[in-house]
Amino acid sequence: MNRTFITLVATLAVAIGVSLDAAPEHDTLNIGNSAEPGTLDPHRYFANAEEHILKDLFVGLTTMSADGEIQPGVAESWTVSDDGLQWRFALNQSASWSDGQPLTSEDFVFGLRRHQDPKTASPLAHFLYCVKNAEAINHGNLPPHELGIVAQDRHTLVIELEQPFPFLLERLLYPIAYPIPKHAVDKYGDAWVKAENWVSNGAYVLNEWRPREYVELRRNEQFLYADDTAISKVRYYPFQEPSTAYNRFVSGDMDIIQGYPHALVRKVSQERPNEVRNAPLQSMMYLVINTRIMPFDDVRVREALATAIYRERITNQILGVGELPSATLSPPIVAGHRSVGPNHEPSTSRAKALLAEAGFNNDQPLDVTLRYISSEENKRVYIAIAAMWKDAGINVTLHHTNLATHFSDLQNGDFQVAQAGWFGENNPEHYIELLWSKIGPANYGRYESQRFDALFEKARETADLQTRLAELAEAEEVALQEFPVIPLYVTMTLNLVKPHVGGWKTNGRNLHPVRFMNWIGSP
Amino acid sequence: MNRNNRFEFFEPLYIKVTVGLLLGVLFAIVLGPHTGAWAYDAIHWEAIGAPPSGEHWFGTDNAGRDLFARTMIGGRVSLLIAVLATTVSFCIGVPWGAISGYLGGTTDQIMMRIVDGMYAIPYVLIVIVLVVMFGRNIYLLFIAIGAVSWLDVSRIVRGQALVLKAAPFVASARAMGLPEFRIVARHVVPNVIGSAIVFATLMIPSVIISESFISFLGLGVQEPMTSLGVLIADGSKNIYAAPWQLAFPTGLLTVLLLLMTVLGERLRRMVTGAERSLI
Amino acid sequence: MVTTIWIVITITFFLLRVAPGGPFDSERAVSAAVEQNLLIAYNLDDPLLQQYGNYLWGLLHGDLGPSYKQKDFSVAELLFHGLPISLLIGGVALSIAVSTGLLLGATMARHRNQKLDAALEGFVTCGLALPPLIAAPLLVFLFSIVLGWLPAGGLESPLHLVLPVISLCVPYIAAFARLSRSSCLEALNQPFATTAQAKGVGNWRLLWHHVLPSALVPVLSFVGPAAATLLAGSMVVEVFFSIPGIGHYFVQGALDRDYTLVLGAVLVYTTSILILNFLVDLLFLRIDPRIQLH
Repeated sequence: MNRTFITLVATLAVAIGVSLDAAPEHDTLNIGNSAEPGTLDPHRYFANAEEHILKDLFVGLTTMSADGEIQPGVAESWTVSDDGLQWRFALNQSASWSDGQPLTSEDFVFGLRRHQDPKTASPLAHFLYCVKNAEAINHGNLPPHELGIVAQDRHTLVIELEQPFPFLLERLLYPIAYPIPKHAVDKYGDAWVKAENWVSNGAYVLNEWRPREYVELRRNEQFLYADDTAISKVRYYPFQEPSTAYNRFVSGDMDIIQGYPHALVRKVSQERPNEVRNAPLQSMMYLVINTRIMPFDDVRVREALATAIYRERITNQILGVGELPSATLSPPIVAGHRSVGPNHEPSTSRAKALLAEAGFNNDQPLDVTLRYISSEENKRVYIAIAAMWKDAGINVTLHHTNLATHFSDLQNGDFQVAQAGWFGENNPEHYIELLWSKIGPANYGRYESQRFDALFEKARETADLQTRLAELAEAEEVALQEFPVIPLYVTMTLNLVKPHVGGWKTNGRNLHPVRFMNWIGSP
Repeated sequence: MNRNNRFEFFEPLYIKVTVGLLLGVLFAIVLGPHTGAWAYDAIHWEAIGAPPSGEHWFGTDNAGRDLFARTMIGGRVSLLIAVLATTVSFCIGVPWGAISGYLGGTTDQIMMRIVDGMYAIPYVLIVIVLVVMFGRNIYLLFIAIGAVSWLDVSRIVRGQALVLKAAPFVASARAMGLPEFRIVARHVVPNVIGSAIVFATLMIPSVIISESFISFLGLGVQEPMTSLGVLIADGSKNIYAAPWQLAFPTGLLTVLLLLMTVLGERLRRMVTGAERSLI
Repeated sequence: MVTTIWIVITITFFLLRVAPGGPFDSERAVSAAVEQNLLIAYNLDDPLLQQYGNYLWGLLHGDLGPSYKQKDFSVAELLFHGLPISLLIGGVALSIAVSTGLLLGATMARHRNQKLDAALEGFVTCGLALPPLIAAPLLVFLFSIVLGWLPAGGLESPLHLVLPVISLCVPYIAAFARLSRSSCLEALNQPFATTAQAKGVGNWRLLWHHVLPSALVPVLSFVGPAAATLLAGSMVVEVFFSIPGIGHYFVQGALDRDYTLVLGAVLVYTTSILILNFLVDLLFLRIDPRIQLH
């Protein structure tokens, strides 16, 4: 019976093994992605894991180099009017879709209108509210054709803005600004994203998507710079657990992984020095305080919470792989950052004094519930913060939940102090605007300051970049005096790259287009 | 179990050893957090993620907390959850099974269909919903686990009740005109409780495992409190950099489970009158 | 059976909606207007009872709805892709557990109260205390990282099945072994076994032809519940070995509030358990025609 059974299992296993795919081919680049993408429709995209794949599938007006700099994409050149409201893009005349159809300015018009159309329900529609009439269209108050984007001719595109926005070229890097193949969408409807109907204009096209197994891309021969693409096939594998990704990198299954357990950084740096590629991410990890509830509406309480935190201890002792402590909400590593704000030394005794002023002492301590998202790295950070607060006589309760619940609670204002983070752009405004009272739910703490709002809104009217940056810095300084948030640190991205993969460069966006990569030696 | 059995139970050497060891472990779990030099939630900035040493017997975790103290407190929490969850499941399962088995007929059919239906709902889902609905606290976890594990209990009790129903003393009670409710409460429940308790000792280990699974999903106890499940889930993520963080909690869990399973098995055999083990 | 499925679906549907949060909560805050657009696009702004009605109506037509998180796939597509993988791993684990368990149990019964029995008993007890949560990291550490014999994850070849299946089935081998040992012993004490023994039927022959068939009934009736609890283990195994089965959808789906995905997974799961129980009942009939199916 035993033997029969073993034969049975073996047969079954072999049968299934054959039906599963054969091992990845020799020329396939295997990349460990952070998660399963939710969609490959650029307008419905939301998560970082999707952006990793989309940036290989499409090219927008602008695109990025291997080290994250903005460079021409489909647009060869551009000009901006003096008032900063009108942007004119000259498109590359030889651009085409992967099915050979020419790519024209109409495709961009179609794309941006579709993106703002409420029917598309783009979760990131507000990222392009800077375009004229976008917000009204997205709220259903105007029809999509009223959008401030015009195809002057087949290769000239004009974008009109509501207000000057010098960071537009960077905004256009997001997948939401990618062109969409109108002919394919018309033909297949929502099913255009299926591999068999797939049309795109990037270095790669979608070959196959096996849910939660991998997304496979193959070289797009029609790509504008197809001659430069060295790698012919790419597979993105989703990893829910960084430790699994690490296991599979070590065992040789993966060529690149985007994330491995933080606790392993020191060990890995010693054992695999030529594979480690850690870099600071353009991002800010911060604590947000609910300024609308007692006693956190008291600025002394908020300042006490901030003053009791020794950032360097967190970045050096608890994390210790290059995280940068920051007292400003705009990350010190972004272009145009200015150091502002009350940068006084952390001090437990000063925190105690502030709390005493606000009416809290040992007999009647301040009670704080600190919320964070369950993860190994977060746990260490927030346990340490809780310990620092405890030293200042604060009674801390920790509360960790999964990501969805955490942000649902934050958006509903159902928290006292909570972890938050923001990432993505190489300019301070992207971060400072989180404090604006009109930004919506992203201002989790419902912070509202007339002085800040006035300064920030003035900056938003300014077209000149340098003046605007100065105004933004002034606004940030005003806000930070009132401690609506406690900036903590710039986080690190932890990548591992096999030595046989060339052209991979660290950058602050942590996006690495495969079109710049190549094989070194034989893989 | 009658009195004779009670002595017989401790007779084999291995049982004596098991009971001794179990008492030792319980002693360590209950007193350990107090005897150790460190509190389970104190951060030692100079020893973050440190390996075992004379100072920290089990090493420290990545937040610099003494792992010995944490393992002991985790063991205590896990055991507490297990005992309470088992109690909850009994409070529901015993009456449910007794009534269903004793009354029989349509009532039995309906009650058992409900049990079958609940088997089919993934209990993770119920626990998740209960936890998110009522916020996360340790007592809720007992109730949630208990509320999904009573199904087995009710099955077993029902089987026993079916047999008891035909027993002479129940028949005579009925002949005396006692109300059904009293028969169930006075005659059926006391007689099924024995085998149910035996089942409990086997259930406690499985509850500890369930708790560790729920904690693995991030729905378990809140920091800085901990449980064996939380410690193991964290330890398994650090297996390369800090194997001791997995080894010690896993060791304690395995020892606990082993001891309880051995005892439970012994108890089960005594009560069900199955064959004697002659080890 | 249809009634059971309907009740389960109904309970799950409303349980999911009672939980706070929605499918579109995420790390990038979404404005109220954008969220409204999303709710309308997925018909989540309708009254709850209407949504329930629509869902059931869709179900009757074989439509499990769209996934809110994996927007490019319908729930049916996702399940269709994951189910064979889950069935394979679950099926292999379960058959190994049943057969190995039976074999161990029969051996223990055959050598009852001897040293071998005691040794196996100890081994089995250890197995019970080794849930996938503990077994998986240990196995990977040993066989993939230290020894490098077996792959650490993925599903490219039959070899990739070894570690996930082992970590999944160990506790069940133990449970089945224990169960079959006691039921074999019970059968051995029956008059027919004693008679056969008196007639001089060999020990193994006796076990194989006379004892096993009647001992099989309690063992088989544990298959259903075992398959049900196997699911919890399979989620751990899927996450740990990055295997794209459906176990993951229960947990992640519930955490993400991907309502339709969870419902679809529950539906598939419930149906498979019911079918399995039915098959086991049929098997009983074959083994022992005296058993009446009700």
